[in-house]
Parts: sequence; C-alpha cells; structure tokens
Amino acid sequence: MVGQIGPLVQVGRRNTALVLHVLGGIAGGLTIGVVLGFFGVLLRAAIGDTLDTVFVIVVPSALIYAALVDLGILPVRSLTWVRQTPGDWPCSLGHYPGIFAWGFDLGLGVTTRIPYQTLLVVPLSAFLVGDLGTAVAVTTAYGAARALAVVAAVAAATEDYSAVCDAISERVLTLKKLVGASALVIAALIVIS
Amino acid sequence: MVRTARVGGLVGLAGAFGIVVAMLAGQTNPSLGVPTVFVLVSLSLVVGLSTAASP
Repeated sequence: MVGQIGPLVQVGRRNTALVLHVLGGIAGGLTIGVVLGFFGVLLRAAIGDTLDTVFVIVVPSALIYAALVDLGILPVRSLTWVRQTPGDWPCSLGHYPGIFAWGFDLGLGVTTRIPYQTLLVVPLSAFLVGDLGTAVAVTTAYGAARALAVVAAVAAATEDYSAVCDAISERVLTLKKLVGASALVIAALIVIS
Repeated sequence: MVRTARVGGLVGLAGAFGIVVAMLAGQTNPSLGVPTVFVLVSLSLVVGLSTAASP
C-alpha cells in the first residue's frame, strides 16, 4: 500500500490525500463495526449474558491459536485470501475517491489479504462482545490505526517509497512475531479482567 | 532520532486514542468494563499499526 499510495500523493495535495486515506480507514472500520455490532446485539438478545462467558472462552482461545500460528510455533496453513486492494481505483473512481476507497477497503480488515492470523480475532471479538458501541470502537480503532501506519510510512519515505516497502518487508517476520506475542498478552489480560 | 520520535509519537497518540475510546465505550456498557474494552482496542491498534505493508 505504501508503494501504491506513496507516488500518488505527489500528484495532488499530499495532506488532502493522506487525510482522505485515514478517513477512509475510519469509515471502513466503522462500517464493519456497525454490522458486526448489530449481529452481536442480536446474539446477546438471543442468548443473554451467556455471551459474556462465550466471549471469555472463545476470544482468548482464538488469540492463543492465532499467536501460535503467527509466532511460527503451530505449523498450520494460515487462513487468508489472495484479494488485494485494486490498484486501478484512483483511475476508475478518481484520484481522491480512489485513495479514500483504498483506506475504506483496508479499514474493513477482512476483504483483503490477512497478513497475521491475529487480525481475524479483531472482527471475532467485535461480534462476540455483543455491544454496538464497543464493536464500533474496536473495528474503528483498527481501521484508523492501519491507515495511520500507511500515512506514517509515506510521510517518512521522502519520495523513496520502494526503499520503505523493502524495509517494511524485511521486518514483516519481526512484526508478525510482535503481533503474536501481543496476542498472547492480550489473551491473558482478557481472562484476568 | 527523528524517526524514533515519529514512531514514538504515533504509538503515544494511538495509546491515548485507545484510552479515550475505551473509557467512552466502557461507560456505555458497564458490564464489560473499561479494562476489557481497552484491551480489545489495544489489540486493534497493535494489529492495525503492524499492517502498513500489506495490500
């Protein structure tokens, strides 16, 4: 994404493009949060406070499983798909709408390639929490953070975007282990809290 | 040094955002509590900030 959006922000107003990307990420996270939160509220209405027990068992278990896969301890095939954010959107939708749509698509979290298995626990927890506000908070935080990470990388790139992509790619394994370790800590915190 | 400051600033901003969001969302549903919401938002922030390279 840095390699795609980086050169594009030089075409128009750089700050406008980056702000639109972040707004797209927030909108994407908010949208999926509303959908998952709605179904979560329906589930809570159906099974009541049992959902809290389900949450405390399922989410930490999923986090531990995802962490073991991300850390490379559990050698199983990762759940992912090949779809990537279409690179032609700035052409087909227009420059700024395309950059916004990229943010939206990435902010949804589950419509593009899944880089870490821990990512799948974000929508799962948003659904099982059974509360619309919390679901929106969780997924919107994800969408905003993902877009902000792209903005930070583009801002730090000083026009050498391919070098930034290479640097990030070299650290993907480290990031994956960092995410895996964080997932284990968060699983423990959920059980404790 | 500048890069470290930027990353530190971003992480600090994300943390502050997480705390504010957790307090707001936790207050709307007291049965969940602020700590649980903060932990979930933290998970989202960690995963989100780590996926800049992914298309």
